[in-house]
Amino acid sequence: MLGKLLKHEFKAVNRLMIPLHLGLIIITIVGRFYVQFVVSREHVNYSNYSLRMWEGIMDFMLISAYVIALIAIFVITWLYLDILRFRKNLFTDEGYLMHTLPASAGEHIFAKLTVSVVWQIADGILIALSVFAMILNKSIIKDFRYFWDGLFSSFPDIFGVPTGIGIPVFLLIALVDTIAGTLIIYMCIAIGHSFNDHKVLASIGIYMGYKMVANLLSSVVVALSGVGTFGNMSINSFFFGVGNYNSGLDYATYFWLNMAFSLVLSLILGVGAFILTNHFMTKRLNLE
Amino acid sequence: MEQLLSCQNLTKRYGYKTALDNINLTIERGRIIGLLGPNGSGKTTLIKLINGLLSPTEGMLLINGALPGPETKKVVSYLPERTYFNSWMKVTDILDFFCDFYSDFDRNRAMEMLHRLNINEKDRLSSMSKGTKEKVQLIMVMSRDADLYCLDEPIGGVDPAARDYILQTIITNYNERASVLISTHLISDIENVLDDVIFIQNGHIRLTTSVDDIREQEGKSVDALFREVFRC
Repeated sequence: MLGKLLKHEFKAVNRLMIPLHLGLIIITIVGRFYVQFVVSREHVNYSNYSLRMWEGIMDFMLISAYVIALIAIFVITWLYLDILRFRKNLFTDEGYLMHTLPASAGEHIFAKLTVSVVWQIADGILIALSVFAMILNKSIIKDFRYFWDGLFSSFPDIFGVPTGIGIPVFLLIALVDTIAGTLIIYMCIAIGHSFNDHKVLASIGIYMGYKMVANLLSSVVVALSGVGTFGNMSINSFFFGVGNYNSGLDYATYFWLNMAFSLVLSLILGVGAFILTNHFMTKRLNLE
Repeated sequence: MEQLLSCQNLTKRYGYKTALDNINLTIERGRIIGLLGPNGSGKTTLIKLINGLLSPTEGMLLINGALPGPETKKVVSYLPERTYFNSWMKVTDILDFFCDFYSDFDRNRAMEMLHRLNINEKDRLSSMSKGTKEKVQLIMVMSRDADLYCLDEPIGGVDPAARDYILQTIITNYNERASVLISTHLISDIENVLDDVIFIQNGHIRLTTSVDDIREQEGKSVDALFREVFRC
């Protein structure tokens, strides 16, 4: 049953995700040609100031448009997968069909979660590749090896663990964090839609309430641990957190403490969110 | 006879409003039952409870002796009173969907009925009228070989000619081990196909009886009795 749910979930979601990301690829190709054109232009018009000014304005506008398009694609992907699709398919009229299929609530959650996470990863990779394709030139290709070597040699100095271990651990945490974040949003939607009225408002309120409690707990943990920025789950905080290093622990211990704490926290939140979502979809389902 | 559905002290409240109040009811196999009552009497709530779209506040509902869940959903075929398909779907997409999820779905039977009602399989739902969408949905639901069919207002938006065909399909499609529960207030249209009726009002069951008894003992049609019982 899970396989069939996945098949139909991909079929429905791909209808938006594939055109959206084809659009990204087209923007990238067109943008790349433009970059090539700008590079070749440099040698021609350097004496005509007013033309150069207009070219400068045009370049700026096109770069802005590109950045806005990237952000838009990222936001639409996240908004659609994590919120809109889950809500529309399971808690509006379509829910009458989905919830009368011979599938358990857990299978529905797993199917939605898997498709959402797969597309979020694909989205992240495609956006990164797009930016990379845009800035790529001969000297960057040449420098890339130095950058890569530098990354490998400096990583252990900063984090206290070999690069080959550190990067996979970061990626694992990012994955678990994405899964937990998605499940928490599912939980808020499922609880909010068990209300008799104002279901969307209730979902948003529950999310805000959750965020407040999470922030409060995180500050408490930070205060208690005395180590610095511990409790925030995002990867960024680890990079920044290292700057606050003042505990007297060595780098490797600090790294593993941070990672273990973050992983356990994400796992607890993810499992808790799954259990609550499942409960509200079976025992407290309230389609209007 | 064998019980297909049984409700024991079934109660459903929405906040302070009681939609179903302490209902006790059994449905046997091989019957076509009209669930009749004025608007807001609890018909849809009862059908949603049978399909696990709501959970009871108190009491219990059993289908084949089991609480509503994935196992009972295999044997209950449900037509809600709203369109539940994505409008981008073509009829073939819907056929694929039902084939994949319901092992008792008979694709040939569905295609035959679609053909009979001049519905093109290549058409998208978004290009169909409301009545045609309802027909597609009803065809899908009736093409399953289920134990219990729950039809919530199945003929409301459908023209009278198609209505006759649909009622005919309902009678011919179900087998003697299955039952059909039809909620409607278009009583005169369906009373000829009904075996039993359940009159429901304000969350209470007013009357459960067979149509034959009504005709023999009361000497009137179901429609006339309904108007009498629920006189405003």
